[in-house]
Amino acid sequence: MWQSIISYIPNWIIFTQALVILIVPIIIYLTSKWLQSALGSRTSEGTPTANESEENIFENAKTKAEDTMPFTGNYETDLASIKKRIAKNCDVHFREFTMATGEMVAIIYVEGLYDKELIEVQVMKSLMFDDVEEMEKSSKDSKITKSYLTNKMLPISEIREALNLEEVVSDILVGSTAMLIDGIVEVLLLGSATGKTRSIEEPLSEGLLRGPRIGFTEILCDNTAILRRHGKNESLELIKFQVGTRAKKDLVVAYMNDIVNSELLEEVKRRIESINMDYLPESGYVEQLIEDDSLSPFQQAQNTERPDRVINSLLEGRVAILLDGSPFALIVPVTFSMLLQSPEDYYERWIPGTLLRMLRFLATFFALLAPALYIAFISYHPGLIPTKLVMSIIDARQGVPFPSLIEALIMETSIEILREAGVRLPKPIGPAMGIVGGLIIGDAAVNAGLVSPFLVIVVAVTAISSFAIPTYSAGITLRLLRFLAMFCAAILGAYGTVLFFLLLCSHLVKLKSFGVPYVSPMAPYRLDDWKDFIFRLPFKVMKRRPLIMKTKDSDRKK
Amino acid sequence: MNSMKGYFLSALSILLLLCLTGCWGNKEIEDLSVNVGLALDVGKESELEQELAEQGATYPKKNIITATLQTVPVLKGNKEQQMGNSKSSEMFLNTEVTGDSIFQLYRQYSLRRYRPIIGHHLKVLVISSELSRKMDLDKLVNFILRDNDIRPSCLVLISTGKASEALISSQPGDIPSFHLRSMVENQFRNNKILAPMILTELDGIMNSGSSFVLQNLVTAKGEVEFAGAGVLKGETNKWIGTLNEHEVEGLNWIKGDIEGGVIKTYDKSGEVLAYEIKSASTKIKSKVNGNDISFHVSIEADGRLIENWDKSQVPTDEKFLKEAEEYFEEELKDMLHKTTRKMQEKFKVDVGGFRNQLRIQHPKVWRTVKQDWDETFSKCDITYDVNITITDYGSSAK
Amino acid sequence: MFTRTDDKITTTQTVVIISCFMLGSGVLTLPRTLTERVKTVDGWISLILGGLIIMLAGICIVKLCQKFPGKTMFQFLKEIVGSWIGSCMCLLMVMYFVCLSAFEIRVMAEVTMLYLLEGTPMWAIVMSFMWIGLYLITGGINSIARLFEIILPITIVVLLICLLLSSRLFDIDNLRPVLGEGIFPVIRGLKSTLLVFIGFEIMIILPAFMQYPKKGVKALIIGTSIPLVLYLITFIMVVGAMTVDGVVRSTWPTLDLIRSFEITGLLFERFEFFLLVIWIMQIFSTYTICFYAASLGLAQLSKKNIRPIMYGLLPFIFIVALLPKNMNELFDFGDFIGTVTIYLFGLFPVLLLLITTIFRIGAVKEDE
Repeated sequence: MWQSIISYIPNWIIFTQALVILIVPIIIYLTSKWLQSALGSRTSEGTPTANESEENIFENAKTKAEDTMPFTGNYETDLASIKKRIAKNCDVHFREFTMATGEMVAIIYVEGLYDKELIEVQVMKSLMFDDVEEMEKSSKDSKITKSYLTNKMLPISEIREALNLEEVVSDILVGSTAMLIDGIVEVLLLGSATGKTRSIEEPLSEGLLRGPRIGFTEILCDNTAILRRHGKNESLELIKFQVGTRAKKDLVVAYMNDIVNSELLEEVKRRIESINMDYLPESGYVEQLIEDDSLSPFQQAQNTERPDRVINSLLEGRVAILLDGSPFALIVPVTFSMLLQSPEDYYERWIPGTLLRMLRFLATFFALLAPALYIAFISYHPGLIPTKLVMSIIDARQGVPFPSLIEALIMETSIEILREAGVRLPKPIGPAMGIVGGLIIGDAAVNAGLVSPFLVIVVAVTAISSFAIPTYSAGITLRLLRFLAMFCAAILGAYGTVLFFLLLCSHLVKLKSFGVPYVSPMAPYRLDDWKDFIFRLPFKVMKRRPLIMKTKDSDRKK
Repeated sequence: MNSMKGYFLSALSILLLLCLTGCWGNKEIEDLSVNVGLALDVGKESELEQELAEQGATYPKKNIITATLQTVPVLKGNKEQQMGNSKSSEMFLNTEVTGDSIFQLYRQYSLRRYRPIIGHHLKVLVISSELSRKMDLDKLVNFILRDNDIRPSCLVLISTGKASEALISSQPGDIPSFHLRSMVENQFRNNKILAPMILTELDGIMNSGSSFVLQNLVTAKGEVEFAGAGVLKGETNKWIGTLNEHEVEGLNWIKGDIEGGVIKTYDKSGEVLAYEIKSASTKIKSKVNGNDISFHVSIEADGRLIENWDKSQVPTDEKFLKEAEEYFEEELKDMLHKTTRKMQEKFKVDVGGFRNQLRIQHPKVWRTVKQDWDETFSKCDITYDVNITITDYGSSAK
Repeated sequence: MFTRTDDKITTTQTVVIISCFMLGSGVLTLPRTLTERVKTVDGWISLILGGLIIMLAGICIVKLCQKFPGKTMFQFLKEIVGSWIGSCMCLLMVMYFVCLSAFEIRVMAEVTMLYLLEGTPMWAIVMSFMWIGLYLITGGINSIARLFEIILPITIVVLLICLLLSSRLFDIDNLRPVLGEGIFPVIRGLKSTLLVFIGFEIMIILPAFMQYPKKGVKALIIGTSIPLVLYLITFIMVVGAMTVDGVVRSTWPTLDLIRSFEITGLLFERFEFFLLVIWIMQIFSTYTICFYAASLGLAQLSKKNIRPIMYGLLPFIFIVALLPKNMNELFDFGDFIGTVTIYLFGLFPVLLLLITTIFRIGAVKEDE
């Protein structure tokens, strides 16, 4: 009895392994926790923190007080204080002149940003020459007033007033023209920036055969205007935020006020307000600062250049974020299936649309797992390949000096390098480069006996598949994961590939984008949403908005 | 923060270590030789083996079995050679090893060839009737059933001559194992081929204790032909004789395994009449009367008259068709009786699937006669009822 | 936060969890274990009967849980039988779940080593598998349910396709005669069918997580029916192709059936790979839910945070998984677990249900 129990006590090797099995995940857990904290606390938990240390606050206090002090109304002192602040800049110009009525006026502008025509024709001309008689008449009664100026003398739509230095300076520097008039306390800010802009073009990153050819530009007001132009719709609301602690930028949150879930909207606003960064050059910054999990390889906001895509998402109850200076709008929350959908699915009829979607799911599968399966089969499971194929693969691989992992890595890496080079190269050279790389290097590598022709097929199919995914950044994610899959397959064969798949799924089911499970509607099942998932059923069937969005108004028809 | 960095580094090193220990079981595909065929003969060392043994290549064994392992592909030196000599060079490599344990024979292979052998693609197993007469088939296929590489889809055949000869081909570019494997599929053209017996099925049959038949093949001058069937007795799993082609045909009719093929007979003037079978069905009914068990086999077939040498008869004539049908029925009945006689009188075994019908139709009776069914069967009365219909006469109305 | 009933699972998810739990190692061995006991072709009748019995046992558990809304059995057991016995029983259940997950892992490792990765040490196979399971269950019951929802449709589709392709070997004669030797063999087989339906016991925790606990019985019935139908089809196809005599000689009959044919016309010739893939996934699901149940039990028993307990259980499961020395001991271990299930989750809840009904323990809110 005792003997038999003793015989079941495992030896020390198993205890060591048990220890390893305990320690490794703890280490990984601590590492990820450390990484999380190093990357900054999760936005979902984070609160805006004061970024300035005590000393800074003290030093800044003096200038702060100056900034917020109202203008005196005295022309000389006010001008001097403004000059003191920004006259150092070579592109800031001061133009002083006398009005027809005799007051001194100073116009302050930034070269290249101010609206030259507006200032010269509408402002200076009218102040210097026009309505002199009337002016004289009024000047007898009293001094010229602000309201008289805005009402009678300045035929401009956009006039704002500023009371202190801080407001004036920041507006001048983004392109408004400031006007300082002797005797008036407020400084008038005329017009807005009219820097050189790009015209509206077809989106580069998301080409379509059928569908609008319009794409966002870098100018926020143009973008919002494009959104407005989608149709008469009172419910589209655009709220403006200012982001960036040092260089402030406008950011617009767009949504349909009678569709969007208000909790979702609040969450988006909260996260945007908690952005703590001195400057945000592109919406990619915003995306990374508001995402749920920074350690995930998957994007948690969809970026798009296409206004039609944004509008469609808004109508599904999602929220769009547009940043000034970036042609990419962000759509949140995002689910995995959205990354594989293209607006064209809806523009084409439903049967081809459905077929294309299935094709994309297949492409995703290939892009992710094809090389891994190749490695697993070649190195571990020759018994799972059809007999005739085994013979031809053995023939083809004769003389290949590397194991399949190295062989696949060589080809995959060179394909990735080619792709990266193709992006950087000027347009006329890019395609030529692809042909040289793809065809000639591939052929030469086979002839030189570096890789087997079978692998070249696998790699080519994989590469093409990854480009078939409509969202470019999702393609990058898949390509990255593909390498992980290859290593898994090289270590544990097909079993490793299955484990990789399970790991990936485990990660995906844990991931949420703004509270929406990333894998929905696949899981949890929402059969109503499946009408627009792998399939794209006819519009007559798709009567409801996605259930996962918990919209206020779920019916698409009235 | 520093301790965290330490954690990070140790995690990284453990992961790297894991990566290094990887690639345990992997063996690149091109370094393997694929075993596609196996032939088992009575143990007799080949000349090569005898010479090798004289040099000292021996180990404790009884020379009971000679196994011929067929492996593919044969490696060509380089491209030029492949171009020049591909006509004469063979596509396969046969290695003969003699000994007792089949598993050990497989492992002995590694002493002779540098590329390890894998069994995943084993297509055919050919056993010589000589060996199978001496040894229990169960012992011969024991390893093959147990092995985790070899798939149970492997085909089992019996060879009248030396089994190893069945794995030789005189046609260039032909791999005999694939050749045999595909030939079994020709059942729809010829009803002298038995339904393929794969290892899974063989395992079940051997365990059930019933007698069975395996497709037999004969070889001459590098050519292989399917001819007849080897009969194996249930309890012993040993070969007891061969059914000839004609009887195999009859057996197929009884088993209802007809997928096509031909019935040929002669009319009263001795001219050839041939019938192409389109569809056929067999029903076996068992009757139990006290201790007497009898079977009634009714066969129905549809088909066309495909060959008629007698110019005076035209198939548009209804009377002639009826007459022809009778000729065919006569021929078939004759065939069935011959087969039954062989089963019941010569071999005294049931290989026609009668036991299954009794088991299904009279489970209680079956339990009492299960023990020595073959004995009981040889005394059973079997009657036949054949109904052949000629539905058309092809594209010629003459 | 844009939260939605986060810790709750829908009724569909409950169904999926039960189904995934049940579909485990049994798919590969069921035809043999059942036929060994029944010795005739009537195993499928035992299977149906077994499924019905399991449904009854499950309903008992659900009814019991519904008397304590929002609580798992680990929490309310003390209220019924007192603190001491309650804690002991809970500990027993935790040990049961640990053993079950260890058993599943071990079976998975054995099959993987036999057919996929010859030569890879077992610890490597087991460890990587366990870590991924740990990663999943740290996400809580909701993540587990979502993963199962991905796995289950893949399993059903692939399993059905594999079995459909094997129909060329199928012969209805191998399944006849029905009840040729009377009803006794069928009853004899009942016990081994109960073992493959291990998984209904997860209902001791699930009703606490359900959005609508009232639908627990419905979820249980559907959740049991899916594996029942799949097992039934598997059994019929396997026995129909391999005959009773062949099935009992094969260690993994279902796998052997799929290995018995090659379809040359299709892109793939061999389908056991697909079967193994879904099978590994199913083992993964059984293992994770057991692991989760065990850690939840310990956490609720000790009223501590669940996360350290999950980490702490890992080495125990590993050691238990490596305890059986050979295949026979492994299968005995499985039988033992099955027997324990019958007593611990079949009879014990009935007893509890009687106690609660007689002494009116628990929230009696049935009038609502």
